Amino acid sequence: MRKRTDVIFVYDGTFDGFMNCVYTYYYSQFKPVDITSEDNVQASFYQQVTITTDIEKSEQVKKAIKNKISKYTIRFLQECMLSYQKGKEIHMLWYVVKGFKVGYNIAKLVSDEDVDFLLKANKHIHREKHLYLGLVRFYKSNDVYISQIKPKNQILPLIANHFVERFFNQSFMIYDSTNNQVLLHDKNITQIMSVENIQLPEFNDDELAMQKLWKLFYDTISIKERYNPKCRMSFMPKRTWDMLPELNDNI
Amino acid sequence: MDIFEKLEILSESAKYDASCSSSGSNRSKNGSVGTTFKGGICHSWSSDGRCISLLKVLFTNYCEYDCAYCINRKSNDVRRTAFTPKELADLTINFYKRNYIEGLFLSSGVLKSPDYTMELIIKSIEILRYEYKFNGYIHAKVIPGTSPELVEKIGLLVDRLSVNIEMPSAKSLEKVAPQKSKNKILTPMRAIQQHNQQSKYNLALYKHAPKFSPAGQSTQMIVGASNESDLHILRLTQGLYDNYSLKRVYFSAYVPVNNDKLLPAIDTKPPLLREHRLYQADWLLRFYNFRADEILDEKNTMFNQFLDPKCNWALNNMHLFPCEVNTAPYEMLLRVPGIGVTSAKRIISARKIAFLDFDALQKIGVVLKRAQFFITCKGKSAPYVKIDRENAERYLIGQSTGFNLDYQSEQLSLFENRITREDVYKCVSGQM
Repeated sequence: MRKRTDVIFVYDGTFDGFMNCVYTYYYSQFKPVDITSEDNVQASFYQQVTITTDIEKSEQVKKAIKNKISKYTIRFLQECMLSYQKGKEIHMLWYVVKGFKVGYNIAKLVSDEDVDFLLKANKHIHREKHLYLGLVRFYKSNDVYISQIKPKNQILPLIANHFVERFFNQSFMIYDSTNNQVLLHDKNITQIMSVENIQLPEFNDDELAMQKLWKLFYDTISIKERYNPKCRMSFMPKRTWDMLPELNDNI
Repeated sequence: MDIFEKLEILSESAKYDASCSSSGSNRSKNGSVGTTFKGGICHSWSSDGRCISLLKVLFTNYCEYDCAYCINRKSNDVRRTAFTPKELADLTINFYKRNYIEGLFLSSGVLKSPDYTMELIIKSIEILRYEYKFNGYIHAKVIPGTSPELVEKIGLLVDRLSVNIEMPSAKSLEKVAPQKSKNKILTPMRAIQQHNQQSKYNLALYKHAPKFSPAGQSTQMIVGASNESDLHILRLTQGLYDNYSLKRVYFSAYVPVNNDKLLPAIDTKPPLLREHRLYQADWLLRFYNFRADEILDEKNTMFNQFLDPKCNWALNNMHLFPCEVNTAPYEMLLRVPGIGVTSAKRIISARKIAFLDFDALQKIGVVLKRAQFFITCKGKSAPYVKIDRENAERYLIGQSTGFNLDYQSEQLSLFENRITREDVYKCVSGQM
């Protein structure tokens, strides 16, 4: 029987939810044109099919992926879930479907449209993650080190380990204002939480002095004869600037 | 003098040190502050586009030496100051905890004697390592002429050491830096290499053997202050990699700071393009298995202004091309302009699964605008590309200079009806 193609899957936005989409694709008469999470639903002529999240089914799909494609594929897909790019879910679905046919070689099938999309999305996430290992700037307020970042992808789960290991004895918090998430660490407790509209605390004059010192270093270290703003911008895009004390003119 | 003024003076003088890398070391220890990241992390980029990953400062800018190219030479009248070991350690740790930096890069002017200065540097690093339990990256400069015991001592504290070679030949070094000599520079360099190899050997035997400068050593030389050729500099670089197992050789385009008859005039522009070409060639030496004598030869001792060294080599060795992407060995793929280490590896793994065409190459990340003149896919060259030297050269130079030298157009003729790409499309789609 031919599958109905005029539907959109709507799922809850979690990885298990997506696994249920894969399950539904195989055990129903639907072949979706798109998959969206509940938060991003837009009115359209396509019929919406709501996918309920069932952990058991999700585990079943995960097991199948592990056996028929590879263990690494699960991790790869989990990372792709962090991407900000629209339409990632439908590409992920076709990736899995093709993966069941091709096997573990699917990741090397670079000329395929879906594989290419996901490889590029994954690369973008890892690039941004690495950039923010350097661009997170803490300020101290009541012995807590606080930072705000504005990445495009959800990179908090990926950078968490690095910062916990590095500043293990330090209480800190990183607030991701694009995705409304916050990473908290204090002694042995680390967690990532979703938040809405939080007010970050102010800092005092000692902290301001430290930021001035850093800005002074930043300004003196550059060689005037080699001024090259384009080069700087290609490494450090302007959208990251407003969170950096060294590029804040008021300090 | 307050800390602001000190930092300004001492980082102002350290800015000409090119090295900024924080890679090559992997430390993590419980109960201490900080870790190092194997691949290195850049924390910011200054307005000249160079990355800032370490707090790059001099310990002091008092100096006994009188090197012509240096702003802090003895005969210059500049503001002089020095950090106390405690001040420096505090500054580093405060910046580090705010994730401004990856660690410390410590260099220094020569105060009293090389050994006396070295001891001060060691003392500051000891405070950081033992008192503050700082476990981040430290890169220290070894001053030429330091005694071997101190080199051994500092190597066990830091991640990377470097001795600056300053000038590309012993003759010009003697001329501009009378207190330094080839011997004084190469002796500590050799010592670092030997200690480093010994420590690697010990680590293979005993898990907790102390690490001696785990990220190896690097060096730096000034380009454009003396009259050595590019070939000479490149051969020297290759020799340093081969014989002294350096991790990096840095080149710094000469920025005139002093008016001295031994040096180019004060209004000389820094030779940035030359520096760039040297770095490109340096990459070819380190990652692409090139040798210095392949890149330049006695006839061409300077780099081509318009073409990068790899393109230049490929154009001079057109008889090796075109190479078939689907069958060529890894070594040959690496030699194709437009294919780098990453894309060569990807090609190797992807072509086991499916034949590669130009579309797939584009997705892999090959720079086709350069590579198209040197490759075939399944025995065919890219559409409308003629593989020959003149054609490729004209187009590649056109790309680098920004002049639009279309590689398809030959000399125009009034009477000839040339078949263009549009004509072909029309013919195929039946509009003609």
